[in-house]
Amino acid sequence: MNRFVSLPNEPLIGANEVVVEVPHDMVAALALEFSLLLSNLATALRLGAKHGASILISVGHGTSVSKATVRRQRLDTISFELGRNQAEYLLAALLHAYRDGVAEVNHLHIEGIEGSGLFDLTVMFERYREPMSGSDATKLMNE
Amino acid sequence: MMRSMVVAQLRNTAPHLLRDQRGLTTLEYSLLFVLIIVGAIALWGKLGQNMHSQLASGETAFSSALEAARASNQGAPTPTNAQQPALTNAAVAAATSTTSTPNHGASAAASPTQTPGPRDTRRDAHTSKTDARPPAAAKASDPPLDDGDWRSKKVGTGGKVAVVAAGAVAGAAMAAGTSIATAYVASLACGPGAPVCAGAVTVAIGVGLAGYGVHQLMNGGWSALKGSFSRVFSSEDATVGDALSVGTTLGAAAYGIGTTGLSGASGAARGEAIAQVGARAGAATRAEIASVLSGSTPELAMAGVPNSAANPVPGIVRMSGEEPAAASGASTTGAGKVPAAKTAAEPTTSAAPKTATGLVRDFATKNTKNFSARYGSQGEARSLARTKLGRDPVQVEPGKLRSADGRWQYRGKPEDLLGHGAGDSPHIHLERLNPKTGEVLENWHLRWDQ
Repeated sequence: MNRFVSLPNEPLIGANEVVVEVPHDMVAALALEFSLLLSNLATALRLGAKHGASILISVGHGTSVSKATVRRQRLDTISFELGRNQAEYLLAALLHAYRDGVAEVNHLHIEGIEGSGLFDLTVMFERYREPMSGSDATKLMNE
Repeated sequence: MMRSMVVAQLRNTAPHLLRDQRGLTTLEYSLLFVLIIVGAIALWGKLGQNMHSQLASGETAFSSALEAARASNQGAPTPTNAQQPALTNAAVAAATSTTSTPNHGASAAASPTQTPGPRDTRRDAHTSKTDARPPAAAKASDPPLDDGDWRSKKVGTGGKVAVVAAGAVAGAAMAAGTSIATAYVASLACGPGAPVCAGAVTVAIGVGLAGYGVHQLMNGGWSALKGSFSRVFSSEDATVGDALSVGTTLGAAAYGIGTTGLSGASGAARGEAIAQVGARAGAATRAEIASVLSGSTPELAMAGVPNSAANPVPGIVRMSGEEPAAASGASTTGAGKVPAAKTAAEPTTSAAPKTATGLVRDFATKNTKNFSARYGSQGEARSLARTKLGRDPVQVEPGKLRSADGRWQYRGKPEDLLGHGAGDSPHIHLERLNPKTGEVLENWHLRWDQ
């Protein structure tokens, strides 16, 4: 079964990435959709606005996938076959955003490969935690 | 008043165009492709016409000279005209051996400038007969389609099918070549990260070809093509050229239908894949040119990594946008400390990073933690990343470098350095990895005040 989630804004397709903006009030719904994919209760998830480009997401069998497999289904549809680890990564980020009211960061990348070229899926969150100071970050990194 | 309105409109539109990352839509690509096909067909026809016209005029000149020489041989030869026949015969033989005219059998036969076929001229020259039949006085009973050119040979039904099939393959190949060449030129001219520019170049090429094609179709090309179709798909006599024209047209049209949205998603994907061949080749050529100009390797040029000449510290890769590091010793900038540079005496130093062979692949999981930090300046953020990468970082892929111990990874693709759209700001990624498995443990977004 293919699922469809209508986004207010059309995904922006660039040369090396496609950017999907996730409004905060859709975080929970998207988390559920990814749960369906990971539970094999859905085959694919299409993300897009009413008109224009859309993204078709499915989950493969790999559990330590570095790059999703990207294909152009039509000129305005890009399919991403994610590894299970990548789908779980996205789901965890969505659950964090749902739980805390803000995402950990303003965007996540799902790296992908299209033929021999790199092509990423970038998920932008509407609400996200403010960046910490450079000194705090340096301390955390050195722990 | 009007001018100011236009200027104001342009000011409003220009930023939108610059931000446009959509490229062309399916419909735009389809229209463009049809225009390109029409242009290519017309160009093919025009080339044939030109060649035919040039050869015909050359043959006419040779024939005239030959007839003049014959006439002179019958009378009292002069020193000049005594040598002319031999010269003319040789020239005619050379000219006829390379004669190749395109398909315009029927229309050419009806042309008032039609000359006898080269075979006739050669035969006359060799037998030295005094048949002074003028070129324009070919017998009306001569087969109108046979002027000695292989394209003007008549073909039966089986021949029509075979030649149309061969022409279809050629037409499809021509269309694919046009598509690849256009993508190549667009990619070469604009680079991989400029869809608007590439679209503009593609449209410019398409409009140019289409304009030429329409011009040719309106100046006889359309009726010639129509005639060829009529002869091929009827019991009329058709020539090889007719069948070839029909075949190439059908092949090109089939290619167009089979590689656009008109034949569904798979067709569009096929067309995209074919165009990508040209685009990748163009990008590779562009990278090669950039590398030659900058003295860097193509991979580093594509990754935005500066060239070795601007990176005086052996073994340390300077990241895009950084100021050159000190040539010797360590320096401290902001929160990070630049690793000590190797001296020129060290034997294993290299300006380029090591290749990525044997590295574990990095992958994110549900346990990957994401953080974001803001620094006072770009240099401060980069300095921290450079400290974590340490000496001798390895290039994993374009825009991605990993520390020699495999614990830290820098990721700074062009989109990161620009920001992902209107709501984002420039940043780089610094990731802490499990060096054994490649799992991304932490993903730091390092931003800076602008």
